[in-house]
Amino acid sequence: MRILGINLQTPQEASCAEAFLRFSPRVQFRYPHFVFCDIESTSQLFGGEFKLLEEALRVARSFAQQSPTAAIADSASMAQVFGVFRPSLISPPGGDRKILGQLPLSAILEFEGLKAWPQRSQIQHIIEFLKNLGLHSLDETFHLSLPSFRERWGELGLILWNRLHEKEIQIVSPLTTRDPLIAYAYFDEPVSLIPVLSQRLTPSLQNLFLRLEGLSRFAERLEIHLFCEYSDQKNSFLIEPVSPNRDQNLFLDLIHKKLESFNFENPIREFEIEIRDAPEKSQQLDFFEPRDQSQDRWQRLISFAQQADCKMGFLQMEASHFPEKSFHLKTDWPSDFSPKDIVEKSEDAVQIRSVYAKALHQSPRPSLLLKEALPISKAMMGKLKMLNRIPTERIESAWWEFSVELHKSRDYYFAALEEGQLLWIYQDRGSKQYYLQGYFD
Amino acid sequence: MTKSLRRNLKMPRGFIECLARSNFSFLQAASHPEEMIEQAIRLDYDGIAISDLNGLYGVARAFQAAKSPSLFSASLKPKDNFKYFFGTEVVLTDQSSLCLIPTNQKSYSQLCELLTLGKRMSTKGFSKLSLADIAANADELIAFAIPPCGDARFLDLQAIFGDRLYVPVWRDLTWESHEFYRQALHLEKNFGAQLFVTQRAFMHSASRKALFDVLTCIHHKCTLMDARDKLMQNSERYLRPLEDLAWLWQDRIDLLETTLGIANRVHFSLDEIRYRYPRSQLPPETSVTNYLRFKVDLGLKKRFPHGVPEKVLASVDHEMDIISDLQYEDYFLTLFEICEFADQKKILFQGRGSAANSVVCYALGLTNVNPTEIDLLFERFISRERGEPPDIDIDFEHERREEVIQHIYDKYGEQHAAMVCTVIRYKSRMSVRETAKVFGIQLRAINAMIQFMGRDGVRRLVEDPSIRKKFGLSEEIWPHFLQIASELRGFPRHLGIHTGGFIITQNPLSEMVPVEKASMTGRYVIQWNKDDVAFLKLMKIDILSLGMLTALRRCLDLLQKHRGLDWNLAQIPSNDLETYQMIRKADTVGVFQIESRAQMNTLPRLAPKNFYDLIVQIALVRPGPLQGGMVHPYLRRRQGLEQVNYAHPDLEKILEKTMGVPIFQEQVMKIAMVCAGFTPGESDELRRVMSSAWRKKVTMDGVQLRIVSGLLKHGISQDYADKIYKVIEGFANYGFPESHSASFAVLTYASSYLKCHHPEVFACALLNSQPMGFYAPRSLVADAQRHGVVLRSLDIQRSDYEYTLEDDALSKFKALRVGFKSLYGIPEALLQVLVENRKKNGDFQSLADFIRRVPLPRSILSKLAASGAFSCFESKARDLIWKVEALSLDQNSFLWGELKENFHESESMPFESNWAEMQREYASKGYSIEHHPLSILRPWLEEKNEVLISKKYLPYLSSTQIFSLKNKASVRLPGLVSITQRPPTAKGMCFITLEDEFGSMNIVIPPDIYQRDRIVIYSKSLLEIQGRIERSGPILNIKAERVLSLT
Repeated sequence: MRILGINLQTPQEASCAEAFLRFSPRVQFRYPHFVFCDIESTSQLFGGEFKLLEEALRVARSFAQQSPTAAIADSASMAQVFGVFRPSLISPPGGDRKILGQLPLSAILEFEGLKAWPQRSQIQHIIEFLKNLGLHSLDETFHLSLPSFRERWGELGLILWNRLHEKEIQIVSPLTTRDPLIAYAYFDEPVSLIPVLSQRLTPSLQNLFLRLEGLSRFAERLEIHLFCEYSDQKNSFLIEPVSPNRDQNLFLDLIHKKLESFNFENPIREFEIEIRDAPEKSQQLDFFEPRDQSQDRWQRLISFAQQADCKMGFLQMEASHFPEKSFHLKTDWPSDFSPKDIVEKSEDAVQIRSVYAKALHQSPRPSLLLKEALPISKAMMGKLKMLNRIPTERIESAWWEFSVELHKSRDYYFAALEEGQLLWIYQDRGSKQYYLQGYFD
Repeated sequence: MTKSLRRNLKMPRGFIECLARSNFSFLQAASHPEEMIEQAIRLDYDGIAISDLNGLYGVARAFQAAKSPSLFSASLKPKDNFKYFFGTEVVLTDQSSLCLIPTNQKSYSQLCELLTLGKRMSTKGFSKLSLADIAANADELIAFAIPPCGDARFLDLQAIFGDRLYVPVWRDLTWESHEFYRQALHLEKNFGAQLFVTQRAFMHSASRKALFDVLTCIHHKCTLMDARDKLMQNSERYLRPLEDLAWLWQDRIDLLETTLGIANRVHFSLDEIRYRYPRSQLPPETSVTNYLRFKVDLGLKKRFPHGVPEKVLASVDHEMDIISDLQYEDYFLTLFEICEFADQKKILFQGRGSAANSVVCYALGLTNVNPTEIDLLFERFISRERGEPPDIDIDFEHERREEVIQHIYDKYGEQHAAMVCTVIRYKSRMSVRETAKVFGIQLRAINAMIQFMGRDGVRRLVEDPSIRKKFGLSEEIWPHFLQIASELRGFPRHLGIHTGGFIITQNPLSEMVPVEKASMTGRYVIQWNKDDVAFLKLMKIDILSLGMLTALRRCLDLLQKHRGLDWNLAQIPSNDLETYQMIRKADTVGVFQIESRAQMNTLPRLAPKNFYDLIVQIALVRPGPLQGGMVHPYLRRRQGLEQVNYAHPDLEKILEKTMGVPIFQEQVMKIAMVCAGFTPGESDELRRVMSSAWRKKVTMDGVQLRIVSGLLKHGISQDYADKIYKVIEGFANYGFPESHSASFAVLTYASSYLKCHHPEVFACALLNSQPMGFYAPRSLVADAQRHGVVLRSLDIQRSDYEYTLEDDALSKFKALRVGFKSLYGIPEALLQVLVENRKKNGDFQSLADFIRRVPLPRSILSKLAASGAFSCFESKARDLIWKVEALSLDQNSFLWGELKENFHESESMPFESNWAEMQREYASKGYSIEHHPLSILRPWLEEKNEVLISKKYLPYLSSTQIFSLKNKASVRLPGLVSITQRPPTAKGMCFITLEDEFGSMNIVIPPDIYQRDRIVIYSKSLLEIQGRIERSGPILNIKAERVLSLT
């Protein structure tokens, strides 16, 4: 038996083993990050064990954040140990024990293969114990007898002795399990730039496509959900190419274009990609899937509006309180329409986090708001009737927005034209100039 | 506002801001209480009330700023009729808010009880008060109905408060305030609501808006970009000039004047808090003064069995007069009762701090220093003029302090005793980190920034503007970021528990100050810290802990048991020549206060000959004298290398005792008074500044200006004046008054005497009191061995849980038997079972007998086998370890405790070398009795030496060989790291104490070498130092040029 053992270094989903089906039908994943392939009969198809090992490492690199390691040996447990202590080793058939003997005692921890140690602390104890006895390498343990191992560590000692003496047989079975083609990621540092986001999506998509390749399937449709930081806003969209395929670049381009059309309210913190797969042949698409939820209907409505070059959505307050910048269209279905103080409760006790500008939503705003305010001449000002002695509101720009040349502050008033038209005007507190900001009905 | 408008403006008769917050509303306001008060004074308000959220945390500070502002930092003085009052804004369980203002003593107590009710059973930061709770305790409280307030709520409140209910209105130029005003007018019209104008100020100046926004973001855990409607739409919540207010309220000037009426209803000031100390239980028909005098006289008889000296009696009379005048008798008797309890329980204790100035404290046994012997001044402790309560700090054995605390709770109850809080504030790193998060700076950049700041704080970032590029920050953002981070520094963050400050009262404590739950289970803290308590003249006691007292208690017990000496601290022979000889040689490993590397380096130069020298020694090596550059002048004068002179004739009387060099806090204060013309008030504030760890830059700048100019005016040179200021600055970090140093010197002398004459007793007690002190058990064991103490290894048949002393016929000292306590990773309870079983049932006959009598898990058995504790059964540890692993531990088996049926003894274990044995012992308890690592390596080093010498390289030397070398000679030294230090006062220098089998060596690593070799320094225990000898009198250091790993 010749076993390829791959150590992906960081915990993985069991489904990642599907990507290695291309090397052998006998593939097995062992938690947290080991994949074993029985390559006895398939290595020749790849031009020998060396080339197969290289190719396997290439695939593995797309899963592992740290450099994955691999080795080929006569058993899964040996392949795992060598993968850790002698990366990229191809042990000659029948030569495992000699190499094993040179390894330090701590190698016992990795001496698992398909069957993990039931309790690593027990193994740690055995290692410490052997070290206390002055033993340093595994070959120094070879002379210890099976009864000695059994007396001290019972069943565990038996397994260990058998593994050390190559008496245990671990069979790699054909991979039959099938997990949904879903990828999920959480960013430690949330992303707000579209190119960076695309870049971050790429590895997950790549892994999914590697799995598709291993399974000999095509992607029919991609469903992508992006979650914003703080607000937990969920942004979802679909990518459906004309026909199912495995062209990763095509899908990436489509995603990138879709992302550019979004206006995320916060940086993206997590995402989920789901692939609906199809066999490696073209298939008629189902255009009449049932859609029940109002959110789905809302999404569809937005799509129609976008096709007609119209923008629609809910008004979402922006960081700047200036009226023309206060809101943007938020296409997501809002969970709450009126902001409130944040109340935390612990049993009967309360703690409140004030939302200071919560009333800004209720402040009177003109029915026609000018995106760019118009300066009002002195002559014009003379004709206006000011309806307030003191400003109704004072609004300041976001002081941390350094693109604004100076920190600006405005005093807002209601005013009326001779004809009775009600206006919303403001005075810039720096230049003292008055501006028209909007009209009331 | 135009000039004509200003001329025609109708001004109110006066105005008081009644609803302002300070930063003690924790993240919900952006100015210190002092800033709010100062701004109100500056703007010519008639007064201000601070009402923080759910507590009275900042009221004492604000009161201080309003009544007696800092003489150094305050830029203006309050006018005579300036009114300061306070209240609190409580958030009720129905999520509405109500501000409550106490009008008199009774309503103040009600308010404190209400706040205690809301906080005592709630999680930190939460409050649990309902309107019903308030209704039951609101007889004379004024209430402000914080909007929004509808008709129903107003009527409910009116039913509770009647004409004491007011509705605040404000115009902060938001639509919300407009709506609230409309609502308030409706209440006024329909229900006769009394309205008044406030600014609902969250900051003293509009310039704090940016900081307020950052605080809001920290509170909401979001960035500025994401905060949106969480931030205020403008900066109008600040204290405005009166003209602006009048302009805003021209239509209702009367509402501004209503505030005067509100203030007139308040007849309570914080200095009216009537503090009553618990009354002592007195014998019938005895006054408290007589009873205290009786106890003092009893104490004096014990202290002076051969007759009380006249000087002492005169001092007692003087002190008793002052104590009686100020009615502090109960305070002394309470402390006496606590210490009496400790005495009965055989808990060693000793008062420290200014209490050592008092003969009464000495007679009552609270302190162990006779102040008449070293001319300590009682007025430093209590004075009629200062009128401040005495501050007595008492140290108890660190392992038994909890017994004393529990005794206080048992005796006085939780209603009458609570601990003082500590206000945890934003320090440089935290303020930079939090501000950076709010600015959305990436975590990696934040960490780099914090690392770059090091111990220098924000200053380092300010000094080098180009550094922003390293963190990827723009030119625009950088100054804002730094300004806000600097402003945030010093803001209160949350409350902690003071290390030992207790406040005990006759009446329930919650009548006097709100009490709330602390994080530690079963502990409650008051809402004021030690400075607030001191300012309000409340008496607190500090129940502190000291590891050395534990060690000394053990020493005294051992002396009684093994030497038949029934001593207490006072009975240890004084002025022992041998002890001072030992101290002069810096042979002080383990000795209290003078065991650090810096102290050891100074000892041979200062060469203490008597108790007062010890007092000086302890106070000398402190940041105060170190930063002021006073250490070397003192040492040179002491050695006769420099003439004793005084910068001014007036200094002679003050600095006579310390050869013209200021060392003690009192001396600096006296210099300030005599030579810089400080008033008693300024001097008192200077004392507070020097003993406070947290001081504002503006205060320190004020002190510097005042003292330097005062000294210059007095004819003292600029250079000397600057030095004096440096000393003050250093004292604020950590400095000792003379009395404090004297208290510590008692323990220093006691521990030195015991080390000198009973090294085995001292080592045994120190090892049993671990963890404490400066050195690891390894160093203490090595030191004891160097002093001729025989150490006996751990033995299952002989060892107790603790280290013990055994007879040794071959030595003048007892032998020290290692206890099971030394073992790593074995629970104490299991080891105690083992020892008790042996004591009860006799020695263990065999390993099987041991296992049957003490059922321990196999892992523990293995650890015991590895430690060598079973050497009585099997001399080869490895064979024993091999055997233990195969023993049957099944209690139902016939083979219980025996080897299993088919045990293979034929397996041969590898030979255990000395090095392996030493490693095994280090792994089990951190040291080896038999082998020092260097003694094992020595033959190997000798072999290497032959090669080195043949190649004309420096050979390895030992600690004994370097003493014969000349100054600046090059050396190559191997050794084991004992201690690595890099004190902040050492300007980047690193100090290592390196030891070999013969002794220890002092290595000095310059900053550049440290930066280059720091990874080796911190990651390796066995080092090779290449460097040069540096001699300075009797002191020998090795200045490292290279640090390498030895193995």
